[in-house]
Amino acid sequence: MIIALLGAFDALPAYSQQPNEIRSGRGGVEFSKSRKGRRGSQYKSHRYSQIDKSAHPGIWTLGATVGASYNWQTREAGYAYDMTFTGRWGANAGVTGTYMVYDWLSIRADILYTQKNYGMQRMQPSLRQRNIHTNYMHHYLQVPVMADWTFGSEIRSHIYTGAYAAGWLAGNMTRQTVLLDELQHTTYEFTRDDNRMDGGLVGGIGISWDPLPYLRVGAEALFYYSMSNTMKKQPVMYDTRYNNTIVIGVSTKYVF
Amino acid sequence: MKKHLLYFSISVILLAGCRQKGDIYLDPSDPINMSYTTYAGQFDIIWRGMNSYYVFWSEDSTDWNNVYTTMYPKFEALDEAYRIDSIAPDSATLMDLYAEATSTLIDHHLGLQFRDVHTGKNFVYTPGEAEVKRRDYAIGQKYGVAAMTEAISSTINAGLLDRGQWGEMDGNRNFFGTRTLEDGRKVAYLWQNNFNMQESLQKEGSTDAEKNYISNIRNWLDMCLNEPRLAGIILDNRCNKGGQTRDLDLVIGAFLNEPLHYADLRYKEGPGRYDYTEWIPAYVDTTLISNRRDLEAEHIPYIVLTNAYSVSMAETSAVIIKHLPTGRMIGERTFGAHGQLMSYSTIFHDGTFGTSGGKHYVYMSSMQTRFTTEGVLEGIGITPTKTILQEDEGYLGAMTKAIDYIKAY
Repeated sequence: MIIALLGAFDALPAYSQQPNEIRSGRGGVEFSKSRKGRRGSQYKSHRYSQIDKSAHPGIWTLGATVGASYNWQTREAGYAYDMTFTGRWGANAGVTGTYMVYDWLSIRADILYTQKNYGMQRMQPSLRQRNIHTNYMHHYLQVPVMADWTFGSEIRSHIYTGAYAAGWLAGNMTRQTVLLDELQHTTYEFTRDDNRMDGGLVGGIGISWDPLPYLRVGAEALFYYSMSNTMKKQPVMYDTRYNNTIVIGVSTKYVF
Repeated sequence: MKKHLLYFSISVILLAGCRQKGDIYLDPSDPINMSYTTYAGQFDIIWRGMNSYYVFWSEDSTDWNNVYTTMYPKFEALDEAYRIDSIAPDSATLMDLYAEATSTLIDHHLGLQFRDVHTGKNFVYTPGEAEVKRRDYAIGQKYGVAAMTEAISSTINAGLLDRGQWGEMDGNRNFFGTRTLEDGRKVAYLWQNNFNMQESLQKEGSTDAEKNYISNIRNWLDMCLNEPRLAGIILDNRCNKGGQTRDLDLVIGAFLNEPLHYADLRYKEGPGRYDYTEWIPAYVDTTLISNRRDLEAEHIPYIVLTNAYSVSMAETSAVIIKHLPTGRMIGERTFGAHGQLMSYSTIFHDGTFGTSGGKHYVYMSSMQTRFTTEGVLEGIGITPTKTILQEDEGYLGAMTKAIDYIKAY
């Protein structure tokens, strides 16, 4: 949000000036490459077959996004130097919507179910060099709010910057031990030291395209940088375990 | 746009600094972390060790952070006093401080051993035992091998047992006795002050006492399995300090048709308080004894006697017998030390740490036990089917009840 505000203060609405020429052909608004920025933009040529709804400030979009998440933890293992923490893939899906402030800037907000999974491996020399694999699966409800910096017309490029808040819903562990060769599956029990809330920065890139005037499809990659420890603040032994999550997904939106 | 990207980059860099760096976990068994020279330093490392290695944080209501913030200044005050006049605190003061810090912890295996950093004097404090001594039914009661020896003699004198044999090996005692009821049926009785049956059966024994010790176990098992006119079995776990859980395969496994899932265990796999593994099922095995006996089919009661000093394995076997089809548990609520112990804590990041006889040594459970039938009862103990208190009826009370129960069964 901070970044979105910074951007908004600095920028002037580019689309507030009416284009002086409308030409036939599909494709909506097209700015010349030689224009010198938005501030007092000079348009050399404009093509308009119709007023393209999807490129107007003030329009809304609403749709669904689905994809995969890859999460890993930044933490202090301390003397448990035999533990190696690895990232793991998970699922991500939810509702996504945007409000276009300018043709180059939209505000985007999602409500997502995101898995923030990770793995841990231990090599035990005393247990005949066998690895112990533990996979942690954590389910979150996640709400990112982002500034969507848009470039291009036919196929738009997006840069997303913003922040997110998330809540831990549930978790479980799956484990392959040396004691029992079969997989053990158990619920992750929420403890007094766990922090249910999660929040931090989010940023990423994406592309989108309107195959139909009212339909927008896109693909994106976002990085969620958590700034809230999954462990609560302790006065003495403060254990820090932060999540880092990359989400890669596709989206389909209806343009209102 | 470049400007925005610049803002974005700067913001990310600034906000990235918002991630705090955590404290590093210290290994409480590492000699480097045993080089403290102050009371506060000693408390600090014991506190940190407990923070990571204690397995009952999920069940324990002790506010461990609060223990640090309230107790640390008190240990600092001892250091300050020593710095001024070089006088070490008396034993009671130091013991009281550790008692205050650990008295509410539920792990009843817990034993703190620490050395005064200035005088070199060693202290031992067991919070679990202190709690049991405070229980209303245990106050003023005599427990232990001597009390039990006396009790068994009076049991024979009272005619509750016909005859029996004492055995002794490696400092442990046991007693095998029988009782022939009026109708000619027989009762098999075994008392032992710890569980090391499987190990003992593999030994020969050099003295008569040792040979008796081994034959007592063998005879009791033999009678339980093969006596045609068996009226009932009594396993006396009173004043039994516990021992090897694999003895369950003898005292329980001999009477099962299929393996019994009696508990789930979990240990720690990380240094955090709640870095638990999954629950691992624990079974009583039935393969050790081939000629197993079905007590339910033969309608034979299996009674276990307990008191406040039935500890660990004595309680685990009791809770299983309590829930067998013909099982019954008579006596007092038990000690409450159900966690199981393993020797290699460095693998599991839990349980005992420090050096025995060194600057500090903390002995405790390395696996949390959750009984299939009764859940986690650490620090509470197993409540008998029929409670008979020693303060009301002495040692004879539970035994009388057991024989009456078998007669009437």
